[in-house]
Amino acid sequence: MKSLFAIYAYRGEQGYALYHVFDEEGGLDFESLLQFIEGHPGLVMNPRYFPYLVGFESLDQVKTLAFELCREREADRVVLLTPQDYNEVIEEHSHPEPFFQALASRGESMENLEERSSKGGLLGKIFR
Amino acid sequence: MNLSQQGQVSSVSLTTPVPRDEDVTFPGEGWFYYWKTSASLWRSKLETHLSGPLVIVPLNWSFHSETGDTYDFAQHRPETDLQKLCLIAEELHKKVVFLLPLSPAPFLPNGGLPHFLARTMALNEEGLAQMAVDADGSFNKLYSFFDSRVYQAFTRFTHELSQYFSRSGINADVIGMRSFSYCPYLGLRSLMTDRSIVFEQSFARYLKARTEEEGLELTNGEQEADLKLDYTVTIERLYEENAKRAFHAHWEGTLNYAFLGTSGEDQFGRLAHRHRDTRYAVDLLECLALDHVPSSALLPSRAKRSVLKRQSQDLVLNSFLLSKLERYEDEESSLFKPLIHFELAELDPKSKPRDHHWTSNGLLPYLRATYPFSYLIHRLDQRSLEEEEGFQERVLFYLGHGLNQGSFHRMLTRFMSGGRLIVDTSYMPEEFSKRLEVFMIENSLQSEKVNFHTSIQNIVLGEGRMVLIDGQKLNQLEESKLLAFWQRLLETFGLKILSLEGPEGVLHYWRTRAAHGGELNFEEVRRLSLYNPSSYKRKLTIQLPKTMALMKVIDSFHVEVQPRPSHIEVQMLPEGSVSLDFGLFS
Repeated sequence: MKSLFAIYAYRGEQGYALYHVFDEEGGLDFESLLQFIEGHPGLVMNPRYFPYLVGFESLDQVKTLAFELCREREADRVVLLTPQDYNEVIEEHSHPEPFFQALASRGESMENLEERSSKGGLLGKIFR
Repeated sequence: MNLSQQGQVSSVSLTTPVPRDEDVTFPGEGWFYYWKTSASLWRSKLETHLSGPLVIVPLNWSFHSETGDTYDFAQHRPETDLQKLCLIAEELHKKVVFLLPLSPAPFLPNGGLPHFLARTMALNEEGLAQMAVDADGSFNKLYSFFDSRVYQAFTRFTHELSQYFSRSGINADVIGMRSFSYCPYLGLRSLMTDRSIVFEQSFARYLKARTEEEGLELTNGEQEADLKLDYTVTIERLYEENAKRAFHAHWEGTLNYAFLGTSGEDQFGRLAHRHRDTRYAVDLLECLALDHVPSSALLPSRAKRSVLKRQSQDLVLNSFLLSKLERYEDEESSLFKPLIHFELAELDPKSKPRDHHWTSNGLLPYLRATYPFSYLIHRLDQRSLEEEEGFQERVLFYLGHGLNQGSFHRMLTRFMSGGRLIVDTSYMPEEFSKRLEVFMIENSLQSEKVNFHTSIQNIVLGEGRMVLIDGQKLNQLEESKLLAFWQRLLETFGLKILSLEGPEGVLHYWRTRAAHGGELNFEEVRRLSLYNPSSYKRKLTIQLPKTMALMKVIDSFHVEVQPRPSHIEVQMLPEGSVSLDFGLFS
């Protein structure tokens, strides 16, 4: 199963910041993320973060972006990680292979995209 | 755009490549990892694999002290015998320069800390664990340098090491090393940065002390962020001062090293065995322009076998680094130093607003497109006039809102000493605007005012020239007008710069040296190094101005050069490179 990982954090009044998006084929750079967001009118970036980070007002927006990227990268699921999840995995590992496996078992995993989208709601709206 | 293709991956390794022995012990830029090979092989390896006069030896603290309490300097393991290493180098007519990490070292496990001191992982400003992917794909986790036990152990280590130097008669120089990660979007980030619980606790003590001593009141998050920067700099200096004291006679200052392949996307890509080799060649030049020594130590050996290896040798080790370590210049002064036409003041990290920078007023995009890597972005306020030999030949750029008392004074001193300055007065504090007016009145200076996309004031004093512009108005201009603005303005400075017409993707870098005795026709000699890191053929034309003559073509690798009466044609095969020497006369 191919996983897409997204590390995000809640930053109080500043909303949610997306620090890294990556899978076992590599990481997405900042410019690509910005271009991707521009190409999806449903995603509205919090301008307070620009030009250093990608950030949003709500967690739904973070999830939406992650799902859209997941579909684009042809991944099976998204794993949303907090810095704490990521740090704990780093602390335990020193090599890439177990690192990705360990990450895949952490965080908030969202699978079965089609099923979710068929149920409606925000994600459903985006997937139709 | 298909994001599944966004990795821009130049190559993918399907099997784990076995690194060659010399790549493991010589990671690039003249470095030698003495702990990675048997001491009995040091001589043959140094003789065979290291060209040039210097052996740069990073000091591996944890290799000499597993616990942080006891030390091994040739007592037990022969590979800890630094005296032997210096003697071998001397016999090979090479000079050892030791690099002492003053912050977490990304090329060493635990950032270089002895095992028992690696207790709290350092976190970056986002709260993510600081780590670096090493050349072999493993992680080097970085630990907090804000732990008082680390500082005390560092003090003991530098003391023991300096004692060992004295006992064994080692007279090599020691240079402090600060480590940075480099990301094309975020720029340089200090690996000393830490937001772990250990940092927060020690910062709280610092804050308490300042509150008690100075009556400091913390009123908002921005102020707290600034104080954290102050505190980090304070601790950095503590480590540096400590090392300077310990090695006094050996101490030759501190260098900032930027490690290639350390951006977030690079690290995740490298974990997946994906490498953006082409971009590392660009990143290396960007780091030079940011006045940091680029290091390819973390990149796998396969990424360093082509253009990057030649850049690392020619531009970093034999030029940039030697120009930083001036005492190693040979007597004939044949060193080609980086040719810099423009110096841009780097903002103090606490300057507000932070986002108004050389990018938003269009200068940096213009320089990148027109005069790539012929500029230097650094803290102009931290260098004395004596350190800036030849600054009159360059155009210096200042940001009004980045000025402080010291930098304002230095700016005027440079102007009065014949310097050529462009000052973006946007957000300039009123205090400095008034002082500038007073300065002009006191010196009876007249300003010539022009309106071209924004207000421009031209002030001349002897050889010196100062142009004041309102960069805020430039922010609203469309790109083509911005480029035209900077082109017109910089043309008025009459710089002697050779223009290149060629396809994108060919990297070029200029260096310069004074003319020798046999080159009396010329004022100076300039070397143009061209690199084609892509997998495509490239062709470019160099138009020769009347004031320049081609002297010779050197280090040609997969390149054909055809000199014509008024221009030079260069055809480059994939991964080709060449250097051209030009004589410059008036």
